[in-house]
Amino acid sequence: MLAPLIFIGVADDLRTTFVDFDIDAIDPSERARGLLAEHRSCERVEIWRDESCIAVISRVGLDRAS
Amino acid sequence: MNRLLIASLDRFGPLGAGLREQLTACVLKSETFEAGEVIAPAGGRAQLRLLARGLAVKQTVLADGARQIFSVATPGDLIDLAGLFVGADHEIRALGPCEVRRLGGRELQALLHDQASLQAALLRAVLTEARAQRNWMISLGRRSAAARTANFFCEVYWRQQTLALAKDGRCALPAVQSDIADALGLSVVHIHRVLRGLRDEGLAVVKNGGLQILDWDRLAALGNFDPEAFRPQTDQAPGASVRTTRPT
Repeated sequence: MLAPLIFIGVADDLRTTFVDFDIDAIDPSERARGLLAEHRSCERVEIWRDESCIAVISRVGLDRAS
Repeated sequence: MNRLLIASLDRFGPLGAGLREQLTACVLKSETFEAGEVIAPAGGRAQLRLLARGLAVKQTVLADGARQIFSVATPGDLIDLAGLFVGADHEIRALGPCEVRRLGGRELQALLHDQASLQAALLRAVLTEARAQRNWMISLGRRSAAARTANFFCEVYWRQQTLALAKDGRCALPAVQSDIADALGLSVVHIHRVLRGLRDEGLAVVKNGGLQILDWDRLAALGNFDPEAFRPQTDQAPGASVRTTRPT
């Protein structure tokens, strides 16, 4: 069973705002940026596989860049 | 994965100060199960079990061998809330390959003792489960065979869609017709006829371990599907969201 990537949205008060599973995301960071754009209530998206957090994509800087 | 456990509990929050840190420090035991294997036997207790991958069912096997399935669990679900406090009167079985993370009794009791917000979150999780069970009861008692099947398919799809595990009208449903029959209180012959009808009507198809929704609006109308029956209960604080958009 392939371990899926798990995208977890986190609000500024540390609440979880969504959990998405994805087995075949080609570009996890791009997917996380898309989720940040979709979920305005979350400040960052953590990308997990199994026990490891492989990346954290924050809104800070993203909105400024877009 | 502790992070998934925290995210799962967050849906029933708010969680109190320090609880996330305490949960992060806990050691979860990981177990994998093949389709049909028992994840938790009836009578087991004092474990916090989180379904990390796959689909599982809660069921009771009667003395005559007949079986009643009364819920389907999706990833992120706390699957043994009854066993947590009083000992489960039912078993949990893997519908397909599953991975479960388990927090042992001693650590759990310590957390429950220290953290009132964990007790409250688990209570809301139980209430959420109870609401879904009432929907199941309505299906078994008052919905036609076609309507209860439609409602069941909508639930399975919607719950996976909220996790991004369903898209383009497709999601996993590694169930054979006897599983669906045992979930819906129908005979295998009857469910075979109902499934053929749903397919011929262009509403939904089950095959190769998957569910394909062909016409969400008509299927949801047939099953009188209300996603509110499955939405996690929170303390009105804007908790973890389950997306409310109509499935695509």
